[in-house]
Amino acid sequence: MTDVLGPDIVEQSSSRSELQPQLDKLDSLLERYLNLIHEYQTARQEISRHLSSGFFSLARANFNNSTGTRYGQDYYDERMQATRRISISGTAESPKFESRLDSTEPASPNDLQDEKASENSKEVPVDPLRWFGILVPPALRTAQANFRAAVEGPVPKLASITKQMRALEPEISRLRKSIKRLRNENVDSQ
Amino acid sequence: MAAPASEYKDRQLIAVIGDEDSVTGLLLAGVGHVNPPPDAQKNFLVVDQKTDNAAIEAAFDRFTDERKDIAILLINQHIAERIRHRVDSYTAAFPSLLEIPSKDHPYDPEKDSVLKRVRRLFGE
Repeated sequence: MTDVLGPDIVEQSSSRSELQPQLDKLDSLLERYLNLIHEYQTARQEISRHLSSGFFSLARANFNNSTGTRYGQDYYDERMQATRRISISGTAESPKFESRLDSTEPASPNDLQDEKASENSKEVPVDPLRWFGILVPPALRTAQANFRAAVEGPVPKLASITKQMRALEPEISRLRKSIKRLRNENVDSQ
Repeated sequence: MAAPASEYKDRQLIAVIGDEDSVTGLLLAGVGHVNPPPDAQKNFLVVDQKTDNAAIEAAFDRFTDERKDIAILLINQHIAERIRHRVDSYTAAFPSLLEIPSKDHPYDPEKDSVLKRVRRLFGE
């Protein structure tokens, strides 16, 4: 008799004592997750702000464009090279996305001018503003600054936050299931 | 469980699927990239009324699956709506997928695939 009851009692008490740490763990995961949602929403507001300013400036540049053409795809350079890039660091589970300028773009003009000119001048990427002419309206420059701000700040931030959220989601689900199971075991054994 | 850096070290580009103004703005910011010829692949797709959903899906596949040099894919939310099943079921680690507003379509949290997962997690 005692042989049969023994393991049962052990299991019952162990599932109870297992429950609390799991509940605590779930609490801390949910807290982290809620913080991430908050960060996500803040970065969302930031990107919306930059982009809507950018769209507004672009519309203004187009409105004032006396040539009757639009600042659009007809002028894209077919050989364009990306100057704003992303570097990813950290683990695949929780990677960190960061915006960076491509190294071929001169950081300060006088800095690299001589070397670049002697190297290969074709390698130096063209400022996309130049696609649209030598004298572009200030509104187009403002649009560029707005879109740059979006790409430099909130875009990599949102990408990083999204990944962290994704990593937490299955953890939270798993823990919830395990807590549910422990609770059911406790109910059954009472 | 450190992930091999090789999995993402070549992923440096931001790709865009968007309307003309969105793409123009992001290219002005310097994200646009055309591979050297003869391949001459672009990392962006300009979508207008004439673009059919198959072309959008093809670009989505190219940027998320075929190409290994994309770190982040930006897609206008109203365009994501047109291939919603693909966007919502996208689970790959890289590239990271973000829905962005366009000039005529402000960001709608109800449609955002990230926040849909949040709602699912909280049983809504």
